[in-house]
Amino acid sequence: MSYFKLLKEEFIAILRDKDILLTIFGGVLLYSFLYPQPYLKESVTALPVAVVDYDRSDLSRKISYMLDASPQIAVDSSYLSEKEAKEAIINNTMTAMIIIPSHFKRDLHLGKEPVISVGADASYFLIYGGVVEATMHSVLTQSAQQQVGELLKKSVPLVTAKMQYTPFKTEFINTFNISGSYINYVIPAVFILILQQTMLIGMGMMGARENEATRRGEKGYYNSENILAVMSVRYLSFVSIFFIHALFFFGFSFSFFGVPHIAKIGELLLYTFSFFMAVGSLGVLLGAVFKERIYPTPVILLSSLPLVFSAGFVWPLEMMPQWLIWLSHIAPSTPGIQGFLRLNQMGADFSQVIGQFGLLWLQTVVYTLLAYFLLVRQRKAVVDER
Amino acid sequence: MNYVQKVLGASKEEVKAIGSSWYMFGFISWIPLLGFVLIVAIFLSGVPRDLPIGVVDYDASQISRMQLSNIESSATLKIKKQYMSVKSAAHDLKDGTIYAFVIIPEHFEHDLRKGMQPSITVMLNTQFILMSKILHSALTQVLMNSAATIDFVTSLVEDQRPEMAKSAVAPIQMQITPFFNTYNNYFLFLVSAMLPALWSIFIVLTMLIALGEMFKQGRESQWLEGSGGSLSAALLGKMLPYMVVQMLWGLAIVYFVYGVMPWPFAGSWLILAAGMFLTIVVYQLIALAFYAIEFEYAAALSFGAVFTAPAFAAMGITFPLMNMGGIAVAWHELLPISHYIHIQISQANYGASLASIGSTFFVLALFLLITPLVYWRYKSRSKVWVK
Repeated sequence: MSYFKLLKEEFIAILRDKDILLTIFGGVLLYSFLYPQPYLKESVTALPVAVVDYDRSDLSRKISYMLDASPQIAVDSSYLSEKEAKEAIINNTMTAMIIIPSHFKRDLHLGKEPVISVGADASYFLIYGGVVEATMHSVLTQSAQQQVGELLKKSVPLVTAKMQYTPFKTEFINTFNISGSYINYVIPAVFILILQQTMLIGMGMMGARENEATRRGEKGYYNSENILAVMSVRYLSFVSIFFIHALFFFGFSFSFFGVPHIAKIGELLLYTFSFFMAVGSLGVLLGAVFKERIYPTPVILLSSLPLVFSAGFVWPLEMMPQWLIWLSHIAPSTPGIQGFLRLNQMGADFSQVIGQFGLLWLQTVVYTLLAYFLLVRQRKAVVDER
Repeated sequence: MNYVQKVLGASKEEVKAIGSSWYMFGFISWIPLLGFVLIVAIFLSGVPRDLPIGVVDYDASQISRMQLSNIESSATLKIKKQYMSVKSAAHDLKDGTIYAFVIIPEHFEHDLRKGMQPSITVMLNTQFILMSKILHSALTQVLMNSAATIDFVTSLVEDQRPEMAKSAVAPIQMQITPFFNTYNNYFLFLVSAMLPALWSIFIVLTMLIALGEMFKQGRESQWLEGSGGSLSAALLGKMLPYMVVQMLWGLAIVYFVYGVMPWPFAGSWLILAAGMFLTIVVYQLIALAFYAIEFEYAAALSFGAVFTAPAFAAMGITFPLMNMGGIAVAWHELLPISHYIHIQISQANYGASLASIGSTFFVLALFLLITPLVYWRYKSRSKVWVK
């Protein structure tokens, strides 16, 4: 069989299998649309917060207004007591409460350091963090104004007073994901995992189906043609299909959801190709290992959660046990996610991802060799049986 | 043969099948265990410590060095490297060697003494949102304390009275009380939801595998005979062993999070167990429905995978439900595990009464409405199965 004919057979075999099509086209398309949905608003805004104002002075109202003006929270001041507010939190109508004590204004002027308390449900970290951040900002601003006011009373000129309320300022500058958007955080990494998992399931099913057919005694290009040729058409078919998926993700989906992409196009394509070569070789290996087509889906599905959280973008690698980090290097998604984030989101030079790049090619070589030897052995076993 | 015996007859068949298949047995034993252990191992440390950051100290004065040692003394932060320039620090920020770096400007000490209010700049890698949030709050705390110390000393010199000096530094105090997850621990936050998400995948998978393996091995007539020909008893009998197994796994997860780990559990274990049971039954029904779409093993697995895989994202734990759009909320509502997690958190945190979370139970129970449809699909198919 000519190589071109072989390639044609391969594509026909893929297109004729509706379960594979459902996974490698249906799954990819569905997730590319569905997965970003929860994060469309990008960051936490207008969380309902109960402000219990026991002071009811102009100053306490001012703080209330300032809190309301911060983007993270929306103030509801209809709660009269701490108890009412806490009930509202338990009923999920409010996410947090802020208590301004009675005699707040008086104590402040007497220099008695009144305390503003914040209570929030820390089971939901993003909500908790948002409320704390907003309150901190409002309280610090009010605090600074108070200090400037005190300095003015001591007839310090305004310009000097503005400089003296704190000896030095701290300025935080966000880099890469400047808006702190959740979509920019989750999507670039999860899309890589989606590409890997759907490709592995597709290739796993392909190989397993052929193993089933071979056991039934059927003859096809997959068990009669040259092993290296069969392997290479498998790489070629799946890598090219998923390369198009990747172009769709990086090109269309990223723009559509407003995710920045700053890698140099040549470097991105090279990295994408290398990633798919690693996934492809693992796919051929798994295809040889799985005896039945029902195995790939459960096995690969279950690996998703551990893989996404051991890639180091959610939880710091420094906090993970070393054996787990080694284990995570089995999957192309680990160097894949790390490399793509550095190149495309963080603007690293290609030389800075050379470690991850090397790991992808190491995986490619190791999995290809393993797959080759396994296929040779299987073919021999079939011949011996006959 | 009464109905209970019929159900048990089918269950006996299923238990036998599990016992003779390493694959089926694996999916109720070591495979879920491995999955849960991996998740736990990733997050076991709970609170990030010694996160690597860089510093660029252009001042190299006594006071700038004091800032550095204050940073170093924070348990969260670790100065991995001192850089000579912003450029070299930015280089390391881009490849993730450091998560942030602090720039202390030239003449920092000089400006400080002159009251010219210099600025310390922190560059944060906000691509890694969780790490950047932790670093933001740790650095704010360190540098604010440091500023307050300097301020306090100056005020003390001017005012001579410690208590007045103290209030001049921070006129308004702020007290933060985290309700519930009082330890501010990420383990409790993430793992207590992630394990149930993984568990829900297992409920669906094991049910699909139970059906698929049976049809593959052609045991369906045996199965119906075992239940005396009653299809409903046969289906119930098939679900029953997995109900028991998944109940044990569900309880083990909750016991691990709130029993073994030191997190408080305020509510009723009975309410939680009831919610757990309902969740299992609902997911099993959904698995039966997936299988009944085509009565084809591999296709059913694909449907199950597509449905359950993104469970964790739509739960509303990491990103608040209040800020989700319509499609995401719909998706959230369609996943039974979202409702289960609400029951779990409300029980663990504040022991919500049955009355106040009754509506969640009601929504979960709504999924049971697909039962007639599922039954009808199997009924119309079952003629082929009887030999």
